[in-house]
Amino acid sequence: MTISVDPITFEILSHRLHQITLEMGTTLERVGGTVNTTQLHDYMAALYLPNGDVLSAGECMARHAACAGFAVKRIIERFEKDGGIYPHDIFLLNDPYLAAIHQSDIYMVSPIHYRDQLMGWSATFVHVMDIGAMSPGGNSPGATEICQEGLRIPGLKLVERGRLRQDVFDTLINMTRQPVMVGLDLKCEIAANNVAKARMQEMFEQYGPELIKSVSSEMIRYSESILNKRIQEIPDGLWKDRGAIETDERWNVVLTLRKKGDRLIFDFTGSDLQAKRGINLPYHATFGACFEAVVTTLGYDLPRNQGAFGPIEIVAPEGTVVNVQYPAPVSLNTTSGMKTVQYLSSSVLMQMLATSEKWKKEVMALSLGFRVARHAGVNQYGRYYVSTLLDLCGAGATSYQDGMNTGGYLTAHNVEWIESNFPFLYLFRRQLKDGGGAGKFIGGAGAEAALTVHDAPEGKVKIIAFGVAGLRNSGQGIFGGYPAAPSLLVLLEDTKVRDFVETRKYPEDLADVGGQRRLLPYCEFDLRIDDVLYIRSASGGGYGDPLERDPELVAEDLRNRLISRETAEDVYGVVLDDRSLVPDLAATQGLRKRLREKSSA
Amino acid sequence: MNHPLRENLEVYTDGLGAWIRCTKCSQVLCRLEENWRNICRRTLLPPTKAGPLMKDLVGHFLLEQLYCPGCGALLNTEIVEEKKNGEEGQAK
Repeated sequence: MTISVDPITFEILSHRLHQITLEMGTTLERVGGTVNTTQLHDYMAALYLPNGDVLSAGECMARHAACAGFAVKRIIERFEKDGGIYPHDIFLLNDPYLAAIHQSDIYMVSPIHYRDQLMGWSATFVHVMDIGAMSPGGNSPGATEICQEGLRIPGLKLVERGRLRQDVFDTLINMTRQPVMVGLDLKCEIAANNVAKARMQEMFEQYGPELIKSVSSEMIRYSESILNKRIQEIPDGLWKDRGAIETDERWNVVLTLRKKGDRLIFDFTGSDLQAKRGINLPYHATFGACFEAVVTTLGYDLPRNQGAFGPIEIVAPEGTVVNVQYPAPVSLNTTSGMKTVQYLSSSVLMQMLATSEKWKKEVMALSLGFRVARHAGVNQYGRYYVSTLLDLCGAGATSYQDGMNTGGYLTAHNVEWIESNFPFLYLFRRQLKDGGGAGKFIGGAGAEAALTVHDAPEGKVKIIAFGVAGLRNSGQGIFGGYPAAPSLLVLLEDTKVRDFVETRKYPEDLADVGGQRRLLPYCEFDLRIDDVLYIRSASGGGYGDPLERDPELVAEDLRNRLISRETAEDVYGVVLDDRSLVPDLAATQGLRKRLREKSSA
Repeated sequence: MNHPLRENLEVYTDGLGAWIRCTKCSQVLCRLEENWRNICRRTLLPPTKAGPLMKDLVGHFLLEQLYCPGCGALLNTEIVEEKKNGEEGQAK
């Protein structure tokens, strides 16, 4: 039975469903144990219909909300036949060939019953800090097949009718290098799913299940109808882009977007065959990336749900880097293949938006991804650990404003927290100067940090370097805007860093510590006490011609240390008074004219 | 139907068909089905033209810029592989 819903009730209840996903996220952060969950936001919490269709994807990574929907469907298929689905059960799945993206992202899904009737599902994922792979932390640069990448679980019942299966739980955590922390992360997922169940049951009790069902259907219909209308407003066409996943090898990804009426067909035909490195994406992850690109460009103000699936069709040939088949590895994919597919799917959508008078203002410069590292070893308290190093990125500029500096969905860890838990000393961590791509609107600045091993009982820490390892990563400019500074992981070996530490001085310039400088591809190595690890996050790309940027804004960028004096003059063509740093508008006009003539001659 | 194509370019239709033209100077670049990039004035510059932190790209990549052949409006800037450009792969 479907009952009609008045607009006010619809608004209240649809927002209440959204609020439940936010409370699930808060629960993950407060109960979880590792930095990924408690500080970095590397998790997902969402609600689903009884058949696994997305009801509310919350504010988490939409790609995971889509994939977790597939996880619910796989659990239904498996357990309806064998094992049963009962109130207060909680299931676990992390098989990338079924629904997950890579094994470290553990999906937990839980049926939500009301008076013994299945009314829906909740789902979470957290990126656990170890999964028993060949490399600590799970991301395994040396893996050539999935069997080297840790536990792969096609679906099991972790909680049976409300009772934790301790034998299963202990088996799982004992197969990781960090059983206590992984155990905490699994329990935070159980807690978040329990919160979802309790809150949903309160709603069913208060409003009755029929009204909630009607609101759910209306939410999906609403998102789909508005999205379809928006897509129809844009001229039909075909847009292409190509990119590469780069490290010491290279894999090409090709994408053509065909738009006709209210249909968006993302066609990856022509992409390279799957690799024997863990950069490959399963089909559902490629779908999830395109889903995320669509909801963040055309549906950013709409409830994120199955309604956004409707217009999307994916063509991804089997056995390629965008539709991996057994036994190819996947452990590096969220920060490699995923970044490339996210970039390309957003890029073709941006090209499409630019052809619409109404939508062209939404165009934004995009990023090809960033570097990231895991670190593992014995900490200053004598305990083995595994953790993460990454930093805040700058966002791309848009057609009407500068990109945001050092922000983003994935937040960054606190330096003092890192130093007090792990054997590291930061030499500096700061916003990047000259990082953001130049443009009429400048890309947001990323960050840079340098750290060394400190108070490490073994005198070393293992580092696993991954992410987008080619130099053509970071923000890409759009419509004349310049690219941003590349994201880097650099090893400086045999430096003078101990001299700085012993004298309690810190280098202003990284070159001051000396040593042999090496850019890091995908690799695993020991960082030793005389070494320094330098991490530069991605910055945002610029929008439009830098010579059209308001000179007053360039002066402000200089005062805010976002750009250097050289960049103000050489790239932006702005002449500034030496003392006041106020722009000389007449001289600026002349310099810009000369630069324009020189560049385009 | 006329509609924008991207910043500084638009699709323009007349009795002879659909064309891509510059919005700043109205110079027609090519037919809609042709690649407007092939008509642009093109420069290849050292990557450090985009800023001092691009120095790690020197020797591997160049900064390619495309300009309207009519008025010199900047239409595109991107990093391209140096080796792909053959004899053109020399920065100015």
